[in-house]
Amino acid sequence: MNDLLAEIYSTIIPSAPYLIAAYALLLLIFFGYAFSIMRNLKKAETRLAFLEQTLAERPLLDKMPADRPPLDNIPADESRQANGG
Amino acid sequence: MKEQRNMSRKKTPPSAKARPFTHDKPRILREPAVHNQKAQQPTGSSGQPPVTSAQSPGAFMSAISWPDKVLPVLLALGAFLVTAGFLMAFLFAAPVNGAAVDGVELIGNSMVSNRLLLSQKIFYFHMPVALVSFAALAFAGYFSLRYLMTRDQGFDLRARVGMELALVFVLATMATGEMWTRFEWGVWWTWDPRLTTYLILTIIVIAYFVLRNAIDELERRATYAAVISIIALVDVPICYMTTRLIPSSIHPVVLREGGMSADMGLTVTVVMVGMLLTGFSLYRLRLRQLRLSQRVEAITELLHDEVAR
Amino acid sequence: MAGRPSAFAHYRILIGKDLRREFRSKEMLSSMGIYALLVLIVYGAALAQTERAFDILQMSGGLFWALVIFTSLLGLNRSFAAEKEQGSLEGILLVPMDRSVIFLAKASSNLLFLLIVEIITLPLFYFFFLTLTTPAPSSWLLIAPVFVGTLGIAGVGTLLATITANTRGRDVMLAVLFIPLIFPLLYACAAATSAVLIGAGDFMQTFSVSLALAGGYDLIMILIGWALYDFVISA
Repeated sequence: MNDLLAEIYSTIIPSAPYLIAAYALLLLIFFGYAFSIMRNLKKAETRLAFLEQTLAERPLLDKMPADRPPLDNIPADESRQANGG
Repeated sequence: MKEQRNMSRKKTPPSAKARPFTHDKPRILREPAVHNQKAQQPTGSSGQPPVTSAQSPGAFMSAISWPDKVLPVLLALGAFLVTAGFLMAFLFAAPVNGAAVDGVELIGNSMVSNRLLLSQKIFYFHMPVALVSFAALAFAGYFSLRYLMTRDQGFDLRARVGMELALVFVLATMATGEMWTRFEWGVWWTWDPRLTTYLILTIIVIAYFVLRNAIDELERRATYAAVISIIALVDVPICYMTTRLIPSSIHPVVLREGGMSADMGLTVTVVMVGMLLTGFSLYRLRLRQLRLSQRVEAITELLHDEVAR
Repeated sequence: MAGRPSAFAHYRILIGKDLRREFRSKEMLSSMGIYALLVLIVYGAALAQTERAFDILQMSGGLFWALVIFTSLLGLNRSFAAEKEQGSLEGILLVPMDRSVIFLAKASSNLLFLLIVEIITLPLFYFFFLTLTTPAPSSWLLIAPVFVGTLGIAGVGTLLATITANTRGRDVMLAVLFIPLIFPLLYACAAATSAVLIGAGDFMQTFSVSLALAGGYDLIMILIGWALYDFVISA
């Protein structure tokens, strides 16, 4: 390529790192935000699963606390059938 | 896992099969006043569907508000448009002329007598992201105003997500702008109107979140945050006008005036629409995630209270 | 209803209360004044190594306004301190009046205190820094941006001080909120002050544009403060 063309294209290679950096930063920011949303979602789902488990193990909410039998007294079959099998 | 799911669905008929758990809860665990009371929201949902709504999957789908229904489509469309815009920026839009060169060359179909700039391609993303950040700020201000009018926490939540979106897009603007400035002008920072206004905007948005973190009571936090958001919305245009209108002797005026050719305009528009859709999708996603977390919190607290008794 | 005081009467009473308390103890005024002097001393140290030929006139407008901002942060922080200590804010809120009157009264008393401090610091600033250079003959015009700027600072600052009075990290919170929001005003007033101090070239053009922008800022911000103050103080 002759000198003139070289001069016409002279700023392209020096500017390339900045261009790439700009787009890379953009992607980083957007994906970072989406990632944090997903992470919070996972946390909420974990806690939800934990709650489900707790509800399954514990006696039902409408029992009086004093009347509630200790956990090892609950007959295993009964509770599981009441919970929908 | 399936047994536990069915256990908590004991009040609902068994015909509902493929429902995600988020919309099932026993009446006792209804979420506190976080959802909107008003049914007509321009962009918001009408809150969670009542527990006793019709239980077939078809009715369930109609019970979700329309933004969440179209969300996957919007996100896909946004991503597609942004990608298309990116490709257009490099393959379709003509390169912009820089400094003049002695002599003329025939490149492609046209006579070129200037240096061709690649760094200008950042602009195709820089401007849409900047405008979307303003839009996010405006929406946050709108929701803040509605909160002050109605005292509905749902609006406060939306305002907060709007400001988060504004933060994301402002950071994107600063990043792209910084890269462009560094290459074009050779310095990392100039106190020109746009950069300065964006710096102020960044700090205001960060200050908004600092304020939110410093207050614990729900009502007070929402009220103060709403006031700051409204003031911020008014302040940013004033800041831009002020720094632009006052003639400065020292600093270079970095304003790029001049029209855009048609292909540039088209590219910018494509990226703009894509960014708007992406921004809106992110907003909806974040809103849903926050609401889910809040409901889980509420349920946890209720359970703790029950167990503690 | 015959004996119910008008809004203006409320305003007068509230201002009178603030002014009387301040002039009795002079606590806030003296601390602001001493703080301004200390900032000037810091400037002295900061600029000590500048060349002899360095013309500090170029920086004077900006330096002065930085001084004003820092001093007003101090004053605004303290403006609600007394009310909080004595719990008199609840008492004021009990009186059936338009809450925005409280805003106006507080802002006016803050404005007055700030102006008093500025009247004291301007000569001090001149004494420390401006005798080495020659301010332009148009320098007396800086009274206008000083007044307009202080008006805006008092308005926005009172609103923000009310917000941060009950917030964790009170002082820093006020600074974090105040400085970005006051930036346009600061920029405009510093530009106007510098223009008349240097007095070179087309300075009247810069001066008038800046003053107009600062005035516009004041108007908009005080209106917004007026409208939103009810929400803020009732929270």
